[in-house]
Amino acid sequence: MTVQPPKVVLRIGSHAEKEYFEQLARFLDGLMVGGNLLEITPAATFSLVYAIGKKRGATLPFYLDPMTYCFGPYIDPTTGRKRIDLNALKSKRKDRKTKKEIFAVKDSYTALASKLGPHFEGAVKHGAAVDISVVTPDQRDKMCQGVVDYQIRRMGEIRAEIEVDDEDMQALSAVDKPAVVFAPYFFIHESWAAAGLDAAIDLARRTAALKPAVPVHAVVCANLAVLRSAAHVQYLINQLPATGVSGVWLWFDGFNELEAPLDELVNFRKIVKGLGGTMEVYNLHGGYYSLLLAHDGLAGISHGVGYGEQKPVAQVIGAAAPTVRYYLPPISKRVGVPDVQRCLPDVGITTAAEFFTQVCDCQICKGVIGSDLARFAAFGEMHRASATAQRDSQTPAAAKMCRFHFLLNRLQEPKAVAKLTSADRAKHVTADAKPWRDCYPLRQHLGPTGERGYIELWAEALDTSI
Amino acid sequence: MATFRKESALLEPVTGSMRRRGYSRTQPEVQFFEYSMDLYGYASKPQKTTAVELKLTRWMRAFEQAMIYQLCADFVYLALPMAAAQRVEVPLLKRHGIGLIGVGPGPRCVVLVPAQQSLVVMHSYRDFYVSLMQESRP
Repeated sequence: MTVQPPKVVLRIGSHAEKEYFEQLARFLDGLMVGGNLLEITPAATFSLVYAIGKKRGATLPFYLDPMTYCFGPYIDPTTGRKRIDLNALKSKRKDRKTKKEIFAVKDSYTALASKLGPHFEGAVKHGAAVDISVVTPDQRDKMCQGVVDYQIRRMGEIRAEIEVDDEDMQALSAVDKPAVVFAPYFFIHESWAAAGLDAAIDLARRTAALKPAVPVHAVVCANLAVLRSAAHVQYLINQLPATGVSGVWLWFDGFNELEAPLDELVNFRKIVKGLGGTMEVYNLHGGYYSLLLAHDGLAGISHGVGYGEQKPVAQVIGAAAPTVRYYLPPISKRVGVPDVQRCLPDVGITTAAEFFTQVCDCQICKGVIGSDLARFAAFGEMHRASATAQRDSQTPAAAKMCRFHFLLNRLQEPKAVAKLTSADRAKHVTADAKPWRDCYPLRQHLGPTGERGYIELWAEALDTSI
Repeated sequence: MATFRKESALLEPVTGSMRRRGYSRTQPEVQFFEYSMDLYGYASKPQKTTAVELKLTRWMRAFEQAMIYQLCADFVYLALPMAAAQRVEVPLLKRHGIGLIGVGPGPRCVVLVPAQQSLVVMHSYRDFYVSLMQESRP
């Protein structure tokens, strides 16, 4: 049986990504903005959202992520220890008044906290994470109300604050409201899983009870141990439907579809299938494997312009920006440009026409390659970014082409997935990857021949009876 | 018998061997996209280029990288300590035109499997490295 194409909701990471959203507006199923971006650049973000909406005639669902987890406890990725100091939100900078260097919560999060309500504002003021387990029921209700109000009212407030001359933009006031509102959510680590899951369910229930003007969705933001635990997974399947929320967005920290072992892939499918019949289920940071779960009830995925498969809850500070690799559609993974080039003759691709037939015929690939397959190298074009740089890095133009190519493919994938049957999914992923499976330069991505790489694990997980 | 504890210890003997074989210009750590070729050599008469991937033990990963370097060099070799080189799957290397150099004991290098001219070398890449090597000090 075929299904509705799963949705792809694209998340705006920064205003530098504006071009991607404007160019791809007509293909998007939704647009998500983080509260921190909205609060640091309210007018610009508002204008961007409305400009994109305008291209779509105001029919583009808009989501405002309140990012309440940022103000809760997290696990330090370098030490593995629980942190309640909000240091992940801080940066070193000069104080405007004293001109002295300070280490303080970034303005974007300070502004967001002040909009979300006193619990979040207090957390920033005191430099101590919100401990949801000690928040009383009455206070929880107030927290939920504050987070809902923020999402429902904020865009309208910004519109009222800035001068909008464009008549069309005025007319678009109908899309001030987001498509859904998210209940407050906090990171759940295995060491506080029971209390954390209880709190997540309770916050979902309290938010749904407010009966706001738009549907309420919960966010389950937890680490991998929660996904691996059959008991925790079953708890969510049992408890979430009773909360009254109409959707849930799953975010398992560290769950990477391309590296996950079989039990994680199967458990993820179980939770999707377990909840899919009662509510809309999304993967907040998902990729192609998630899209394939549309047949199990997955309503959609979300991700940013430059990444697709995962996002850590706590980012490693100072990590270098990676090269934007070429998304190779037959294997649903980004790989290096020379890796692809070296494999082309081995899979029988020696002309541009063969490339368009067997790899990708998106506008970007056709434009870059034209009639000369050697021009594929442009996707990896390098330069010395600065006089002090030790190595060459990808040119911004090449990175942009890789991103556009990835997004054009990603936004077409739901239709292809929907045409499959549930039983065909495993065959589909293995058949598409088969010609590439034994190419030596791709073994670092697909795994050694004879061993199970992510393609085989996806196939097995999709065929597992659950 | 001297043992090699670091890949970098293989560099000097392999560089010396290449020089003796007519490669007048050699350069370590030459970037190829995200990769770093351990050694790249250029010979002017006849003009040819060779990339070498050094490895102490796990040769398969080096082989996978070596295949990629066939895009930018006429000849590509793996170089391993002699004992480790004896364990390499020679038919696989031969089938894909990758050469094998055994290093040691001491600075001695033996070409155990000669590399074949790459059939996938891309002139735009190769020419770039030829220019780079010609500009470098002999």
